[in-house]
Amino acid sequence: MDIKSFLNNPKIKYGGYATIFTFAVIAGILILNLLVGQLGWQVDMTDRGVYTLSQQTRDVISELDQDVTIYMLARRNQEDAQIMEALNRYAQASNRIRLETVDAEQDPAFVARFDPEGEGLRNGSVIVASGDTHRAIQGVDLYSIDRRNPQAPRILGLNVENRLTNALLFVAAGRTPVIYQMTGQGQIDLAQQGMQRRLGEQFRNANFELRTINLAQAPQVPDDAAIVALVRPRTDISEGEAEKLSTYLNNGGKLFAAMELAAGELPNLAGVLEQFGIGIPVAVLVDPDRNFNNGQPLELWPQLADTSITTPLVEANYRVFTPLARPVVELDTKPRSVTIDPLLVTSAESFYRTNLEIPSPTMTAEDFPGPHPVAVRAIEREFTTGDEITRIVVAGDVDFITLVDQINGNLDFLMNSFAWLEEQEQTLSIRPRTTMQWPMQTTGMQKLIFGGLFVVIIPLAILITGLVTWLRRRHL
Amino acid sequence: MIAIMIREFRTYFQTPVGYVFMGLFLLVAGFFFTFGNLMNNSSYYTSFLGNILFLYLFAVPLLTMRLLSEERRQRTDQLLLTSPITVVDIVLGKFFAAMLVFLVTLLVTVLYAVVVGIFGDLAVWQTVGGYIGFALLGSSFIALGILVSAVSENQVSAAFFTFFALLFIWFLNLVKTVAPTDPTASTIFAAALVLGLAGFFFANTKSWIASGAVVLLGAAAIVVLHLLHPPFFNGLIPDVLDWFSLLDRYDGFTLGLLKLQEVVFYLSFTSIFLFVTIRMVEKRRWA
Repeated sequence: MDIKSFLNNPKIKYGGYATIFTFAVIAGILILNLLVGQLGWQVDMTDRGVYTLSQQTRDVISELDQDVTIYMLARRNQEDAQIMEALNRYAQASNRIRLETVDAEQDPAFVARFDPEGEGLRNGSVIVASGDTHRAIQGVDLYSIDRRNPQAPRILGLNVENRLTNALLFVAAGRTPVIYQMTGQGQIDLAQQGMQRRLGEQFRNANFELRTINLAQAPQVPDDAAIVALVRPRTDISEGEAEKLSTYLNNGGKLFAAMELAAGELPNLAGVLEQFGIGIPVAVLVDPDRNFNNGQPLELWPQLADTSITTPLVEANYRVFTPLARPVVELDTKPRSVTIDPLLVTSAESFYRTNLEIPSPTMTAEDFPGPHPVAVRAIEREFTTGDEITRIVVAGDVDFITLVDQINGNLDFLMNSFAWLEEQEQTLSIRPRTTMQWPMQTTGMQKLIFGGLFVVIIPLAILITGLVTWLRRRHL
Repeated sequence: MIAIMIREFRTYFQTPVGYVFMGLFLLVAGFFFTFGNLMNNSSYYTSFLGNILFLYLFAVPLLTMRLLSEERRQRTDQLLLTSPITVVDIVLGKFFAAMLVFLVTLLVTVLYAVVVGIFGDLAVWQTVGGYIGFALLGSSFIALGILVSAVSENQVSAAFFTFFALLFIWFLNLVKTVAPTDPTASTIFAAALVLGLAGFFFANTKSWIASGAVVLLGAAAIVVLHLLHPPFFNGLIPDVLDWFSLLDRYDGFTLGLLKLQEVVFYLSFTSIFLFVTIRMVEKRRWA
């Protein structure tokens, strides 16, 4: 049989054409689908923009100059759909970001590369890697969880963007800022605070490394110090330590200090802070305004000022609880090169008292009327050029740090303060995205009425109408 | 087309079929809403829509079983096919009539969302997206039901085969979770696809040569892919099943994402089944 007669065979001619036509249409539709899939157009229909990247993240992504791979550790087809969608936004936002799924159970050797200390990276976690640098995020940290009731923590939403953008910043920078915590005066270790939310992990997630230093023994603050933290000194620092700290700050160092009332006079430390116009009088803050205390005038819920550290808390409806605070004041001797912004402020009814022997909860003639700052931040700039020299955050309370487990605002205030000191402000205002919807409020009677309507009355009415129609038409 | 659509829509409510479909659909949906949302005070409405997807298994056969098979059984298809109406009009008219009944039923369920809106925290746009997805998935299944109805001899067999076709789609979703991902299994799977394609060619052309050519081309494509892009065969089976999974594609709508690719996919699925149905009926017209 030659080709001509083969092609003229009616079965081939018509059946073949029909089959090819059918395939051409189906193939065309498939190609259209593949092309549309490449476009990735979508609309986020959630009220809170759960799957929309913030401008801050888009800025971070647009500045990436290296390839980054996001590994989702999960069994195939068992990935959390919400997390995957949130991660997909990153991969779609830049050609430099790739998203891959790896099963940690199937490929433990792969996971071991990113978990040399065996901290337990398992399915559900995410790894952000670029070159030799990587950041692992535990699965639980990808969610925003309400832990006020430790027995029954509730998932409120997703915290993917905050974690991922921080991790991107970390792998892009390729270095971890080190926080040196001063020791020797009975200070507390930030890494050990928090039972359920270990602060150590929080700092690691925020790209910080916590180390300790005894400045009395060290010749100076180490060169790799990004921030020095002085948290709850029970006694004053020595003159030598104060000198080393001053030198560090005057050379562009950054300081976070949190003091408790019980420490009393701290003249050497006060001397360091005075250079920047910050005063820490030995006094107790009293706020009789019930809107700003916890039922007791000494237990404060101060107002949040409008700063890059505190505004994200206001937007999230968070407040900061400071159970027993001393004032942090701006001194009249403040140098003109320093700008001081209050962060937490007591109400207009408040006052601070230096004579701690007075038992009265109301203001006396000896007291100093408010409002007063509970915490401040300061920036010192080069007077002529305006270039920043140093950043300082001082809080007149320490207990807020030990309460990070119970109060979201306390944790965010602390972490935002360190992020501001390290000039990582991009991620400060990236809030967790709430996916929780408030439950319905219905009475038993309403449930009964609507349940009866939906399960009995509507279906039955339709079925009876059908029966009547059928019976009528049967006799036509 | 509109005349056929109106006639079919009326037929649904001149016979018990439309009422039984609506009544049973709303009974089960009402039950799920009452005990899933109302009694638990849950405002998660898109989860409710996701939970009642299984209803399609029973509702779609009921809706589509008689559309073309009954014409065939009663020989009224001869009248239709010889009338001055195109096959496209016939098939689309019937499809849109079934869709209309389905959408009217779906409209009643909006009452549930209103209750959530009044007494709870309804994510309005997410719910709108959920309904769009639900309707698109429904249109795909209805198109499938019409195809089965077109090739069935009577209503009962049409309902039976539509149910099993839908069950197969649900079953595929389970299969992909246990499907082998190794290159050997993927190669066998690709070879089976090529053989299936060749079988389709043979069924239409009865030509061993044409079908053999398809097998040769397919085999060559497999070899070339193995040489040029071996990772293509890592997890090919779950990848293909994932891509074609109608149910997985609905997940985005549940989450509150309206993706163009999912909308186009469902519309494509619907179009392909309607297209094949039209080809089938046309083939009979000229047979």
